Amino acid sequence: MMPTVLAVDDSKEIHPFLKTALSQTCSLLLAGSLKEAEEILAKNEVHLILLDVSLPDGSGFDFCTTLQSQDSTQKIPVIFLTGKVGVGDKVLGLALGAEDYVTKPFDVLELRARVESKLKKFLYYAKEETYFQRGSLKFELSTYSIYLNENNGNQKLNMTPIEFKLLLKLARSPGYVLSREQLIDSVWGDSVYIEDRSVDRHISSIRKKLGTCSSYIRTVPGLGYQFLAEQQH
Amino acid sequence: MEPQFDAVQSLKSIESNYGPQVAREVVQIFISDYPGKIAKLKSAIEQDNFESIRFQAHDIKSGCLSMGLKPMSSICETIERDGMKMSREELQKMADRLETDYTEISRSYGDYLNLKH
Repeated sequence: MMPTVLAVDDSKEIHPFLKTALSQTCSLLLAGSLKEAEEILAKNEVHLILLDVSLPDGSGFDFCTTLQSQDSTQKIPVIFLTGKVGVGDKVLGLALGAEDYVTKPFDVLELRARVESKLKKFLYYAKEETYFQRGSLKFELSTYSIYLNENNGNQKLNMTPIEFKLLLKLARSPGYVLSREQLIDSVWGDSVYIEDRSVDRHISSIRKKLGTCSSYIRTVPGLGYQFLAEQQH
Repeated sequence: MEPQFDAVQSLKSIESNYGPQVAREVVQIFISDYPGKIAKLKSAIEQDNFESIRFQAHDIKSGCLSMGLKPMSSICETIERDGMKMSREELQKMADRLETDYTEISRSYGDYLNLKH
């Protein structure tokens, strides 16, 4: 199956160029605004985003930041495709986490090569990461399951989806202290109001379920929580 | 003296890179959409709405760059970059120039496509 690329650009005259450039590389979805892009992302599995900067309902730079902050989209590579040719814009785009920055007019072969290169990398890592291991815990990403590896056996832990996301967020940054606010933004999103105490309750429940590994999560008073790296156990 | 811009040459370049179907599609979009885009730019200039002026100029520039329409893209680039520092009259002159270029280019495109197809 061909990978899917979403191109967000309100200039209709660009669309025929993109279709020709990428027709043999991917299945191309076109959005003329950020709202349309959001709708497409909600309904489709997208493997790469070509993003214009100036769009009728907002800035591609801001949208890139939003994509990076959401679990469901943060791994999708973004290539800016824009008429903004200033060095400052290029630096900003790359600093926001874009994989590449291509200016208009683009060369058909060059754009195709850049898209293919990023897709190859993305699909390789997506294939690789079906699970994630930290200490005695194995996270099965596709099923939101966590297994505790003890005494040469795997015991499945009965975590809720929220608990899975919280623990995964902490485990992905071992040693780092994450504030309750960071955890809320990452797990529930920043448009939902969740009380700090709610995080504490979930952490308490996770600890109980972790059993002998409950000490993996350390409370840092006044700051938040820390996942202790495996070598510390 | 700067050589005169050859719109047909830019269209031939699109044909050779992307094929005649894409060239025709792009010309159709150019002919149908650009009067509206230029009108929006002119309206923004009338209202001294610099945010909209910059957005419209960038939008036209971006499309023209992709179609290889250098005279139009450079007018828009100037408006996008320096529009804030320019008087309404200066901006209106540039928008008029853009409109004239559009008329000439779309006529050349039409002639070429009619002759060829």
